[in-house]
Amino acid sequence: MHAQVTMLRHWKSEHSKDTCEDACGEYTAGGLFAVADGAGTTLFADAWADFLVRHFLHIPLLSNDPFETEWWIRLAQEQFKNEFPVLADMSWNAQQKVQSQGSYTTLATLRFSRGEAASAQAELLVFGDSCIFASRLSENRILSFPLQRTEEFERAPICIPSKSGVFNRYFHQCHIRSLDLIPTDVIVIATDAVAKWIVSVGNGRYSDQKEALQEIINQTTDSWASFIQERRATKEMLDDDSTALIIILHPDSASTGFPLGFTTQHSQPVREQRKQEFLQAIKEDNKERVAIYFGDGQDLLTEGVNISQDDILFARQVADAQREVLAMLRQEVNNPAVAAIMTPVWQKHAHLLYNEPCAANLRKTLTRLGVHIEPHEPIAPVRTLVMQEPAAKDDVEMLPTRTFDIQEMQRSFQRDKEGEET
Amino acid sequence: MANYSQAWSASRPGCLILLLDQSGSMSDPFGLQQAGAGRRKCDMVATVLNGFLNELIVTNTIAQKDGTTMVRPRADVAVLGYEGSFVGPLLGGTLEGRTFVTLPELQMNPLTIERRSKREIDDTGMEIEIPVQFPIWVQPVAGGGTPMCAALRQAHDMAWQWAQTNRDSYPPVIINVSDGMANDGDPTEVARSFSDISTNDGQALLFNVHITDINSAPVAYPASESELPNDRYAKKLFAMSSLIPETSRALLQSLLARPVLPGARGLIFNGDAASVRQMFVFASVPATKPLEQLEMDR
Repeated sequence: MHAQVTMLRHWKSEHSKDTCEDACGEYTAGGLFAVADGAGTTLFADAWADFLVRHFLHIPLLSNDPFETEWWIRLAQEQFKNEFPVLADMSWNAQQKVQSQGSYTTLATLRFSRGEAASAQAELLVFGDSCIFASRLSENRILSFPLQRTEEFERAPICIPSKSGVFNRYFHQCHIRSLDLIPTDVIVIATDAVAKWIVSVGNGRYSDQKEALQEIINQTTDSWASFIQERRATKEMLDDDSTALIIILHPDSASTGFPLGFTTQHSQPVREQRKQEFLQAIKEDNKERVAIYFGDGQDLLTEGVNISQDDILFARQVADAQREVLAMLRQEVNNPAVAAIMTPVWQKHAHLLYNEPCAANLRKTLTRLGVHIEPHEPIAPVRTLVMQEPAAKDDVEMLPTRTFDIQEMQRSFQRDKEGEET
Repeated sequence: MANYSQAWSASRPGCLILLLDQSGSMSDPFGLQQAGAGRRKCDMVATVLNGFLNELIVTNTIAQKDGTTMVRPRADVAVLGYEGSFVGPLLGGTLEGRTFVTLPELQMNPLTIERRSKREIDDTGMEIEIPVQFPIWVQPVAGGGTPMCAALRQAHDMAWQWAQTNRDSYPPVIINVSDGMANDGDPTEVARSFSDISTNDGQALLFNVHITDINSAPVAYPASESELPNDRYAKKLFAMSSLIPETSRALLQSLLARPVLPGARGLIFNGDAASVRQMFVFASVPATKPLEQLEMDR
């Protein structure tokens, strides 16, 4: 299958090409496409949006597992820091804004995971209110993902933060779904101003969403600016950065566009680096980092890392406990009553964190603030995570039996816990 | 267009007039159970005001295409103090004597910038000290009586003039912070005169924050006199305070995380330092959108 790709960008009236906060990119040979919309209320949102698009095209996010997402975003946050302008060169207010908020962006991605001559499968993954639309010639209705109704655009979108301390793996979650596609299907990835216009049927101008979407698909890089300006002039479309990435699928025989590739895993250097960092975390017995570097397990399983599901689940429990205590501590550290506030929060998780190396600094800080950290409940036995014999990479029969659903295990654990509490 | 729906923008800026009581009683400390415990009321009000102006500027700081930043001039701000025989602007340094100033002017001309440290927690739970710059525009002052009527009259005249030249803007918002009664007349009459100030988007709004050093639960945004203590002064403040516009009520509810009844007034009685900050924050955001959807400019 081939893909013909068109990138359409026009900026908000008060912006220019250089300050447009939307970003988009494609890697057709790998079947990867991404659009991002930087949040204008934060500084350098354009740079963060652009960075995340490039990050996805280089290392795609392959699932919506919370720890996998966290691994992927942390990698981006650390690398973005190195690209960032020097704080000391900024005015006092700019420094404060960067220090306190960082930058935020939405992100909508499309990854082809399977491609043949007559069909393909794609994985849609979206943070926030940028949207992906799909249209098929033989069907009257279009797919609109993840938002389907105009009023949904009124809610504040969940955006990806550039500051690590702000990220919450259970709040900053994406929507994900798979889509089967055939030649002549058209996919459009759009930022919210354009997406809302499509969902609202051109603000009532057209008979259905498909007609509105077709109007977008008909645009070219030459016509886009005037199309957007006309829509703004009639108040059909908000005055905001307006981006649409259009992908038209063609049969190979059409010789239109470029060969469409697909991506099912990360590159070997990425997997190898990740494996080394995971092994280092195991060596240090840092369970939080073990949980994050393990992620959804796919990279490490491919690299032959073999660790029990129970161990990973335990590492996740420790990581979640650490996260909850840290989040509250960040919020209350300057509150005169911090000790009184943090004591019950710590005690809820003390049995898990009291002996964990990853919580050493946390324990030190809490002690200094006057929190009594000795657990009231019995401490969980010290549990060292154990690497098992690596499975042979070419042992294809073994791999499917070791594939497991971490999230299902967590849900099962949660159900057991709720059952105990009732 | 519905009333009180115009967002603050560079082309249609908002108007914020802050009146600070600087009478002698403001040198008394807040009660030990209150926010600002043990600190002089005038010190806390100055700290809250400086912090609020800081936040307003930071919120409106945006990046430009050359990589520098600018502050969007989305509001004209005036800070007046009153005590004894004095009623006048409180900004110092290069802004001394100025009534209205824009946000960019405030950003460029603090009286001084203190270097402070802010304690934060890193990703491992370790405490770290982050250097921050804390600008100061207003210094605490306390002494003399409470010429509130004179202050309200001056604010009235300023707001009226401003409204004449900003017809399409959100109407002026005046916030009066005081710990006691006026001793230069009945402020209720002066407060009534604010109804003759309006823009195309509505009448001017006068909000009051009464602060006290008595450890008493604040009464915030009452919808009827019966919610207030049986106190002549409380009733007077209730009568002086404007109704909260319907377009702002939902926002205020989300800020407070509790219901705010229709007919609620912009009044906090028996408040503390936290009350002052809460009123400043509420009064400074546009009435039409939640904070996180604030448009930078229209």
